[in-house]
Amino acid sequence: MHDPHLHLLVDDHEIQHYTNLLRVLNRPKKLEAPVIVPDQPWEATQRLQAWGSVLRETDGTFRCWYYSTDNPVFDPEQMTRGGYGYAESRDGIHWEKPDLGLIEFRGSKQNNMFYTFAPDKVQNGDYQLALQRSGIPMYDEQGVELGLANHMDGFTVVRDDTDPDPNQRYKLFGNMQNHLMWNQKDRYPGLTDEEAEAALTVFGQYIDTSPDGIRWSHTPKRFTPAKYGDYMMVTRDERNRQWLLNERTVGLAGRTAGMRASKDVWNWPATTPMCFAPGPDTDFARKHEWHAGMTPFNYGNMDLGLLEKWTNAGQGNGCELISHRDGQDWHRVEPGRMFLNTGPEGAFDHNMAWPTHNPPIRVGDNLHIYYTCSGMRPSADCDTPMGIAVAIIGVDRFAGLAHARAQPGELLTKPIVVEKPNLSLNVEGLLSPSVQVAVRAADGSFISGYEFDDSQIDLYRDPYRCAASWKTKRDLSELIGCEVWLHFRIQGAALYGYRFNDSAAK
Amino acid sequence: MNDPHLHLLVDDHEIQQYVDLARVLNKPKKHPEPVIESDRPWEGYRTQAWGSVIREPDGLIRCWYFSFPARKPGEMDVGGYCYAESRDGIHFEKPDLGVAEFRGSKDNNIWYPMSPDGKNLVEEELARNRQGLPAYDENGEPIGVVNNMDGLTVVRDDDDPDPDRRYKLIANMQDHCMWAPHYREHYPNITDEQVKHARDVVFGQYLDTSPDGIHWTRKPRRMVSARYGDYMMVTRDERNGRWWLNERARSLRGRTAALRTSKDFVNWSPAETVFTNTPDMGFGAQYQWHGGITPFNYGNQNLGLLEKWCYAGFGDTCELLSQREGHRWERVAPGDPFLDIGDEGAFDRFLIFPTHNPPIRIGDELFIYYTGAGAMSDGPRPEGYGEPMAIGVATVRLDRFAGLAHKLGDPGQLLMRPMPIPQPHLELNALPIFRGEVELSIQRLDETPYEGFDFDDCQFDAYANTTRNRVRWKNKPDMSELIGQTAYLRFRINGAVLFSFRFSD
Repeated sequence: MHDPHLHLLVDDHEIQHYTNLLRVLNRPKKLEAPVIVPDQPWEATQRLQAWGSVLRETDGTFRCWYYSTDNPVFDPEQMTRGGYGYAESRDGIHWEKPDLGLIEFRGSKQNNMFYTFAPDKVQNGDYQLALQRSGIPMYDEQGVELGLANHMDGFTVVRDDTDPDPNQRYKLFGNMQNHLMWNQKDRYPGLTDEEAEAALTVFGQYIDTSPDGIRWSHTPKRFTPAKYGDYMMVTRDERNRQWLLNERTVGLAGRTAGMRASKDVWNWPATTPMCFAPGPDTDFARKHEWHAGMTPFNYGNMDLGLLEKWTNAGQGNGCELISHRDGQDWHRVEPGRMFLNTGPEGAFDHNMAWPTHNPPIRVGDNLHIYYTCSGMRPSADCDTPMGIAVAIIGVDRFAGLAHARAQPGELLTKPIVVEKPNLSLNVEGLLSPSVQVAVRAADGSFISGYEFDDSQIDLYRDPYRCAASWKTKRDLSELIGCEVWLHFRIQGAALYGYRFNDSAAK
Repeated sequence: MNDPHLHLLVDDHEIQQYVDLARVLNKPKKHPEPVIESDRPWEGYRTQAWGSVIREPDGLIRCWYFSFPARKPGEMDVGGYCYAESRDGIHFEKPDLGVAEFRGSKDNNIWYPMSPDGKNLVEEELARNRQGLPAYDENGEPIGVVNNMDGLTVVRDDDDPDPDRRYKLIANMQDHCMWAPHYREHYPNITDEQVKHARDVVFGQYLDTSPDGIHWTRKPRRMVSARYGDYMMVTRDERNGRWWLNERARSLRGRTAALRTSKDFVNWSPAETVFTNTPDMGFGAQYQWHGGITPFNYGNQNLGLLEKWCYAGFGDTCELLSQREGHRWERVAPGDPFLDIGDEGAFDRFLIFPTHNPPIRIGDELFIYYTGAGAMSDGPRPEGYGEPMAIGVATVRLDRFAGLAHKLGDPGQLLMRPMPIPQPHLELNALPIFRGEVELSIQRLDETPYEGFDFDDCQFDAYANTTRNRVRWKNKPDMSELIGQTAYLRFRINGAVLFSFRFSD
């Protein structure tokens, strides 16, 4: 997604001024049903919780690592269910759960589980493992054994092509714990305070590694003790060649989102700068707080993210779109308006729509945004049904500047160096759309041959990449390296972004 | 929809106080495709729903809509006023009415041709030829012709003793030559005097009548002159035995909404501006109110849908409105659309305005019909063609417009203002979210509970998730003994949304 030549109009950072235009949020279209639901015997009966990741391999395969939670009942038979599953897809919509042959469940390894905290790799739920004082050994930053863990939360799987070791091509980041740390004496008979305290020393953020994303070392190594809870995720900042660890921190009141960065996945700053604090519009977290997730990712020459809202009134656990430029603070594109919104009453995502731990995935001219969906409980003794769903949006069309009526909109960019010979625009036509672009010199004068009357843009042939040309100028070749102002005139259309290209758009 | 025993929680009017609850808007679910599209030769390419939907006592759902004309050479008979009907509210049929002639046949669903001979012709062609239906003023005096109507509403009026006037068509009617100054090339021979007469005399809000909604007198009579434009609609205020006429007014800047009322369709009160364009909309510079508020009775109050006309596209949406007798109309969730536009490529991509009628109840759901407008994605729009439009429907469960929600932390508490107990039973409309617990205590004015009606006595299963779910009491068959008492209703809400409550017998 990182592309220094793609300039989005989600914020005013590169804009000198505009008139008769308004910024509009373009929300993704959700499919009518989840794409991954719990349907395997080992999976929890209702909850498929996607604190996991989706990535697309270079051969086009979609891969999803997800979490199916245990049933909250004390039936030992049921408590062996739930865990960490894997699915694949060719189109991003239809998913299969392959038999991985790794973890045994009720006498068979024909299942899609990719990870377990059971030392004998016979599937067991985290509560059950904790009850049995079982788990896999955990190691600190120096490789010293810390104790056992039997649960992981907020996990992320990434593909790390920068690692020279092919056996570490895939990395699993997770908040790992010994569930005894919660000191639930009713759940764990005989549990002592000393045991719970010892378990707490294991609590931390860990890495495991794998050559293929399927077979893992099962010797996770801690890179930071957990400070503010169990929420965490990791994404790649390709532009700055670093990893971003988005975790929970504590704001003025309630939880909020924080982020650290590391070049090598092992060494992280000790403190977690806060990105969003609960402010007056959240009534300092009384009405809602930030869940912590912001799913940061590079997009074009900037960063975008999805800020998870945790409402204290139900029906509103959606995400706002956020944006960021290097060296500046993150900001909310349209405060209060959901980019990824919850569905209407009865919908599978009526309660919650939060993204999986990865950037949107490009599929043709669309972006797939995978998310954990949660609906309404069918009865008081059932858990909240969850699944993994997908919302689709046109490539680069997160937010734009729109005009439909009255005087034409005018948009003047800040001075910009012409990077490549061709300029393409991403335009959604509304009412009799028309977009023109003029190029102005550093002194503000219009450059001959690049004035509005010269501008020729076909908005229908390829709306995502409308090629800009001028009557007597095919492209911007003669201006490469020059600092210019781009001046757009927009009528009956929304302009989402523009991009400098080597070759002309079709 | 008027029901004095139904109390909605869309506003704070009847509430003494609440804690650990927040008001949430319950947005309707939209049917993914339009339910009425332009698909007949006489309809052209654009179905525009400045019309009405009603449900007859036998359950038949009837829609009168406007198919917008293209006004192109060779298509001067395309577009007009059409009719469709449905048994389920989703699948509509367009019956042959035998009323208007289109290219030699009356096998079509056109119900109101505006040419005197009954042939379908667009307003421009009629106006150019100085033709139209005879128009009459308030006193029944002929004042010219009308050949175009906008903002049309059809209502069923069961209060009219004359069965030939059972259905009423109320619309802004015009002699389209009044627009000649804007379209000189289309009206080369229209004089300034003709324009002035059409604009200052003929232009107005008219009434026509029909025994069946199909056959009309076609002699429309003016009710009031149009002052601020062509937008208008009429709905019934059953509670007060009158009609609302919702039309456009002038605000600080740009257009906005106004209301008149009448008991008889003849005498109308002066137009009263309901909303003005305010700082949050740049005083009409960023958006303005389109004019429509679609007022309707619901429960013991009024609701409406306020149409927002946005200057940046993607924003022609509706907010939910609420009003109590003697009070101003209020926006329930300012800035948060109740009816929201669709996603990229959707038929309602940039406009979603309701038809001119209240929501229609079908079973446990309310059907909200609307005009949706999208973009033309396959090429430039031919000159004279507007954006494609169609009629869609959104559904919401009965009485669930907005409610008070709780999910986490201490149980929410809601104390209603003292109210008389008028009926022996109470029904709650609650949606379980997590714990799904709603409890009720009925208390005296000193806030002591009536014996047998405290929280511990209350038996209510929110997970039944029905819209009118009766409260039961452990040791009391009902609330008969409290009828006539003025009491506090105190609710405890834990992991649920409470939308409303209703007294019933």
